[in-house]
Amino acid sequence: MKAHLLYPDADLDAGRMRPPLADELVTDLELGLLLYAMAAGDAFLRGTAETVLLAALTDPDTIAYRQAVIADCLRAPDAVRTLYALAVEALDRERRLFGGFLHSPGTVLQRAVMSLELFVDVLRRLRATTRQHADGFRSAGLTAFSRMLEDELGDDYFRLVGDHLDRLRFRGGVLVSARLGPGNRGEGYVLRSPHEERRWLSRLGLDRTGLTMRISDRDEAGARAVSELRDQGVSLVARALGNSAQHILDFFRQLRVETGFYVACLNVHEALSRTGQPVCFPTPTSAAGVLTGGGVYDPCLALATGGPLVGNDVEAGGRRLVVVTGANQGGKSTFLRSVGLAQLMMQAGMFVPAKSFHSSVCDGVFTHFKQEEDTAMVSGKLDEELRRMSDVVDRLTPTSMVLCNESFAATNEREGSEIARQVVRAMLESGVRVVLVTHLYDLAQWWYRQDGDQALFLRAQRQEDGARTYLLAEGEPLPTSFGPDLYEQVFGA
Amino acid sequence: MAVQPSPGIAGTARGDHVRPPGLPPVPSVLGMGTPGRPEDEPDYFAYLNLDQLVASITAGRAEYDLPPFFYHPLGSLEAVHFRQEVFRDLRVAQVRRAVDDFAELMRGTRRLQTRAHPSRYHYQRERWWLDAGATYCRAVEGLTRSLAAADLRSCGLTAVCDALLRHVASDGFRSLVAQTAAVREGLGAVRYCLAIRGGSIRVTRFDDEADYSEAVERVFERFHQGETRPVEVEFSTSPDMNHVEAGSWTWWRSCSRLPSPRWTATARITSVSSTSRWPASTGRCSSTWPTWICWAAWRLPGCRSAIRRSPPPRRSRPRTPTTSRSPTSSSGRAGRSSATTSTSTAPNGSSSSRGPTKAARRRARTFGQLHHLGALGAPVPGRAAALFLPDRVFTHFEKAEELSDLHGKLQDDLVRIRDILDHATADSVVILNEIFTSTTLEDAAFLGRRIMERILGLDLLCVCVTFVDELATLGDTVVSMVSTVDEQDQARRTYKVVRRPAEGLAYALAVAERHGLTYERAKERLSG
Repeated sequence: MKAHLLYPDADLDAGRMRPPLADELVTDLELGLLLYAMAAGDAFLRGTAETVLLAALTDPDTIAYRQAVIADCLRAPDAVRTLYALAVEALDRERRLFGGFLHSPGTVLQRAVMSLELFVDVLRRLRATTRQHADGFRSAGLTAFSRMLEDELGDDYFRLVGDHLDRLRFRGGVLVSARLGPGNRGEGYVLRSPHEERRWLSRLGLDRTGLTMRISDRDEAGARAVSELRDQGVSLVARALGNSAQHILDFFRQLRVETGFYVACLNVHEALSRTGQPVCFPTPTSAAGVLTGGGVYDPCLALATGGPLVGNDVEAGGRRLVVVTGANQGGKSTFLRSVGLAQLMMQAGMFVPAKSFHSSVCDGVFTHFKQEEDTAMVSGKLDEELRRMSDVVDRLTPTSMVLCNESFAATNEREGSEIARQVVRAMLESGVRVVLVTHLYDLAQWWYRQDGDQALFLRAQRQEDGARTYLLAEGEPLPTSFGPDLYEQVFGA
Repeated sequence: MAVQPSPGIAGTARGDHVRPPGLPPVPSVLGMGTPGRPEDEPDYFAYLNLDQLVASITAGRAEYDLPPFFYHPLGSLEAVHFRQEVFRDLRVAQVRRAVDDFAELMRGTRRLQTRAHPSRYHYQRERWWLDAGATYCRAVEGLTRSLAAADLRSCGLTAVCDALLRHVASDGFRSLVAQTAAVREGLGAVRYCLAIRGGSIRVTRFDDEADYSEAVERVFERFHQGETRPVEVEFSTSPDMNHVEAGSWTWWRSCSRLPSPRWTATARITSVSSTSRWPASTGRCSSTWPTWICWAAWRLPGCRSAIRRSPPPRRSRPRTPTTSRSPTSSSGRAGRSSATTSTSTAPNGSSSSRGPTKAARRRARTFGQLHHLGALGAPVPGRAAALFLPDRVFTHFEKAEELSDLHGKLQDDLVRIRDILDHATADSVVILNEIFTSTTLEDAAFLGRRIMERILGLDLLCVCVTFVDELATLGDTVVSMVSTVDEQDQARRTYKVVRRPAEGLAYALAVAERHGLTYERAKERLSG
């Protein structure tokens, strides 16, 4: 029995290793703000959302699978929120049961029986919830989930489970088999079901076959020995039952993760709706080098400012390189983040912050951003930048995407341009997509001359009066930066 | 080379043991050249990190007291060859596994024997003896079978194998095997049931009652979620029988009353343990094996080193070893010999290393380690190595403690080097690691030149790690080597020492090159 709401035929591996360089990605894209909105105060949801976002899908069909579930959730938000709440309740109640830290077979057995009783209760309500909403579900994910609950958790099954839980109290004593192990001690104890005719005799204490030893009341060591034997006898069934309870616990854990992700999507959807910004379901493609978007904006900025934002259009077509130049604080970094976030959200199966978005799925999104806070010596800083770039190169595959923000600014323009030219060229020729925000005119201009039609050149705008529009337009790189403007603005004339 | 091991020599290596009756003399695999066991490490042992190496390869085998075997380099090529032959045999996985298994089983045998002694209950005691005997038989038979099947080349192991074959074929051993097997088979077939209710226990025959745990598992099978953390269930089991289980005899009598002919087998336990003398002998027998048990566990990516006794003619044959990974760094990471990079051969007498300190230091250390290990007759790490068998190894490493008086330190350095040069012969190996760092460049150059001239005069093998460039060009028997940082994978820090002068690339591109980010290097990495 598997929830399988995130993948048609697999679980999300919540304990998986964080993908390489994930910390850099989270920091550079300011993913924290998005996760904050997704969590809406629930720390568990934050972790889940982060895990899912970082475990990007690369298969357009699976992306469509999740998009359909999200569409169902948007139609009936109560259903998925209730499922999530039930999973949380089951885990909560189980945690409060006494004796989780005791490992004697008797305690384990007793605790497992109690766990199973409460799980049965929650499972019944889970089934009732999906029954109530089943007609409204359109997605393959939620439809299959509710059908599975119907098939696996029929009334007969609940009755059978009840019978076993009753029998596991062992009112008639236990019957165990054994063989001779090391040192001629009993081993391989297995709990047995007595043959039917013996069962009643033994319940009444009338079975007289074999040889019977009685421990006298005063023989404490003897009593302990008997209880040790009994413990060994039920240890297997205790383990079996304990493991069963553990499996159902894991089912609820998994359910909490999977429904949690959709609850987090609902949360951020509601938050973005309040800002009035549009979202859309993107169309991922397996074809290489596609990057087309209309009105792409940075959702984190939208959530932080709460106000309307300027979205940018990007039409890279089949061009694998996008070079962004132009005015400082003209929206270059924001643009870079908005592309990265849209790509990540698309590959998590989510809606994206744009009017339209169409892009190739990639193996990994990697960032190489200038580290503002680094105050090390210049030479050490270049070394550090190169080391980070080298880490990125280590992880790249031909379908990766690299977002560079003012890379190699730590050395002079000529050297910085030369290094960037060499490494970016190698990336492009291997099939990697690169979005490059740079003020290295030497670099941008070289590319424009060299490979003008193989790359998309965007320029941050500024109006005649110096005010920025935060809109990027296609255009040849211009030789000067706009630093003097900024200086003017900050220090006043 | 044709050195025959003398029987029983292993006994002398560990002191005098009374040979247990019925056992063959087990020939030594250490060979004739085995000296007594010096109890002290050579001076350079810690400097060369050989103490760490020995500690790591003998870890978990403290009971055998192995480290002293590593202290004494062999003096003759014959002795070296004898051990190298054994090592070559041990490089066959099958042989090594046989030895490992044997060691493990013999430990098991001893464990069982030590449990039998304190046991209060007769039947339990007899069972421990029985099982110890069976384990011993299995150990000896397994080892014999594997060695006989292996294509052994070494005199050492062949002699061991012959002795074992004789022992295994003996009447005493055969009857021990047959008796233990018969009794264990009978006991292994016994099945019984316990019905426990309150304070009473009923013992009955097992009557194919169904497994209830399975039934329970089946009911909840549909929830199976793949890998899950298994539930811990613990119950107390003292190693000894409690009185309910056995103490009162009632149980055993009740068991024997059960109508099963299998139970008669238990009666035979007594006869086996009382008529056969094996238990007393096994413990001693195994103590002759540990040396090569340990060798076998030593999974350095090693190879047989070919040692030459006399210094080869100059400039015509290689004289220094070719390898770059020191055994200390590789001992913990077995089976990665493919990662080994080899440095170029230095055909001349002395070499001086410069460049990043750590790499050069490590090279000097490797140089010493190789010569010591080679002289033990042990494998050395690397793809191939031709080593010189020195009469002695001398090392000069900076002393760890900082003397406050710099002049005193310099003097101390010089005194120690003079001691070395006084005792060194043309057949010695000398390692000078970062000499004269405590003084000015000018002083260091002057003193270094003088020392090097004396070393060149002695015509011995020497590695000198220094930051003084001039020393590298002192004569035509000096080879200059520079340690470089690995260009491909910074994280792994595999240092490579190469024969090349420093290069003058433009700084930024040189740094980019170092990070593997030039066009060519990046292209290569991305396509690989």
